[in-house]
Amino acid sequence: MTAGRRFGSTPRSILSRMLLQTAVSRRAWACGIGLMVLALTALYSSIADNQALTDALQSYPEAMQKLFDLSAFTTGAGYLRAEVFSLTGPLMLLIPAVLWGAGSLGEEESTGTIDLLASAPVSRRRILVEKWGAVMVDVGALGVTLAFTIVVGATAFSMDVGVTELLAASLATTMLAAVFGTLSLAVAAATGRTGLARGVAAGAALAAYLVSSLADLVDALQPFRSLSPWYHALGVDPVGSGFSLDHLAILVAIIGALVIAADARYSGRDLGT
Amino acid sequence: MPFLFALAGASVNAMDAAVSLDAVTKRYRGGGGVTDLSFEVRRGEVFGFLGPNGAGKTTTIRLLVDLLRPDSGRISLFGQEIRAGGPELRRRVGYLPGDLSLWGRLTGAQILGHLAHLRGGIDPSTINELTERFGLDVAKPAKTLSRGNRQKIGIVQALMGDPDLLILDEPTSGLDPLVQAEFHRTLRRAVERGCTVFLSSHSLSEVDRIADRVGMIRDGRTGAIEDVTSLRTRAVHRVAIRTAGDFPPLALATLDGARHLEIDGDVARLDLSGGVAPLLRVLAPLDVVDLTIHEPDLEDVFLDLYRDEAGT
Repeated sequence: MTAGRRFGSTPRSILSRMLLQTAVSRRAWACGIGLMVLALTALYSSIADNQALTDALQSYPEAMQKLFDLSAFTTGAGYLRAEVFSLTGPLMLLIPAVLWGAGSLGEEESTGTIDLLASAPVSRRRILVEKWGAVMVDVGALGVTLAFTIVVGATAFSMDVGVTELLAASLATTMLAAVFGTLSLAVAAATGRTGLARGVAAGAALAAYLVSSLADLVDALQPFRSLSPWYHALGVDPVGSGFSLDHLAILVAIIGALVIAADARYSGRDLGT
Repeated sequence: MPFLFALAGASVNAMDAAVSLDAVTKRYRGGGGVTDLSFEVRRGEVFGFLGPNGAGKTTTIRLLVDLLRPDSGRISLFGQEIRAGGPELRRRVGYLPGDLSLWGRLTGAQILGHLAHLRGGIDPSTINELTERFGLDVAKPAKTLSRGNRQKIGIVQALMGDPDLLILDEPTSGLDPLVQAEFHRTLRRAVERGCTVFLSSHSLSEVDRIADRVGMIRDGRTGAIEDVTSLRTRAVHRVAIRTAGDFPPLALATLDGARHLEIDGDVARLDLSGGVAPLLRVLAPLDVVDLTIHEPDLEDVFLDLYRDEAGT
């Protein structure tokens, strides 16, 4: 066996090791997203312009119509808004993002591998940034899968939604997952506790969803809507109105602030206790 | 050239210690940790860090590699404070964690290669030479390896960067005696080329074999720091001797360092300090059927030393 072969598939950086370690789950989630999108878009052809369904949906209480975005369910855009980009799609990216974010830092501490990693000649900041980068690459890969399959599905089943809008909605969904993946990583960086990090990030994502989607119905929530990343991602209707750079910039700023806060805590903390 | 000598002397003094702890305290919320720990490890020596389990050995070691941050006190390696030294200072250190965990799905080769990259690149032939010396199969995923083989990966990664300081937490636990011997040979070679070794153990005999000096820790505080030779003479062995007939009552009367002698028919039991060579000379003419010498109990040795330190 030559040295080249023995060390050929060696991860050269922390980032590449993380991507190697998440390879299986990344592929599994990507397959799940692809199948989900294709199934949902295929289903659309059976309900497109179905007057009976439109009538039935219009008989629902207004609150429910708003909550689940049912207003234009039988048009392509309305269907995607309700079926893919209201909850199912975001969850298919959010769940793995939160799991990866917490796991990438937390599991090194719970299993004890942090001793080899953090005693190596690498700074804590480099560990944190590379791990965060790996989560972003993982989430990005799922985002690309979502964007690709939704464009293919929408075209194949003639949903009559512009590619720009589809890409904008996919990007917004990906950014939303990136925010909560980063939050999950930041809590793990601050505490070293995987379970806590997952819980906090999942709870925050649920709260963000509720604030964003209920604000249209509950006036008291209206002032808090702009605090919700969900609102800045999907509450501003990218399926209808395309890219919204202002709102995306807010998501980027949230991610940046979380990374900076995580770095401050991670650099000064005992590891693996 | 007295001036030059003076200068050299000063710089050696200032930079003499490979490891220096000055009044280091680290307490955990749930209790435990270390308190007001101060000691130095000289460059080029093998320093054994002894103590019962739970005494604070691993806490001390994890402080040295900056995994833990002290509540107070100062820790320096080669004269440089460890936080200030950062990754560059850690590049000079090879560390073997006590309870070694590896990335289970990676193979030995991937783990060693990955850590080599984090060190800025290490010649693969150095790694190959070490894995061959320890008979390590690097093609298997770490989670399928035995404890001994995982420990070998830990040893190879600690040694592969040709460090100036080796910090080893219970390095030979899980290794069979042949591999232990190879490991000790490898350590001696590292020391010959100038490496300092700081190694913790709960086994006096291991430290006895390889260390120059020994520091004792108990309940998170350092007790005595001793040369190994003086420690050896003070260590108390429990000895049991069985003879073919009744044990001759006066056979051990002239033996120095014997205490608590009990004779029960053909069996004699005693505590012996000062090494076993005189005992063997006394026993030579007797018809000895069986001889058991227990390793000195560390706690006892420590208590002995501690009482001496306290001046009682």
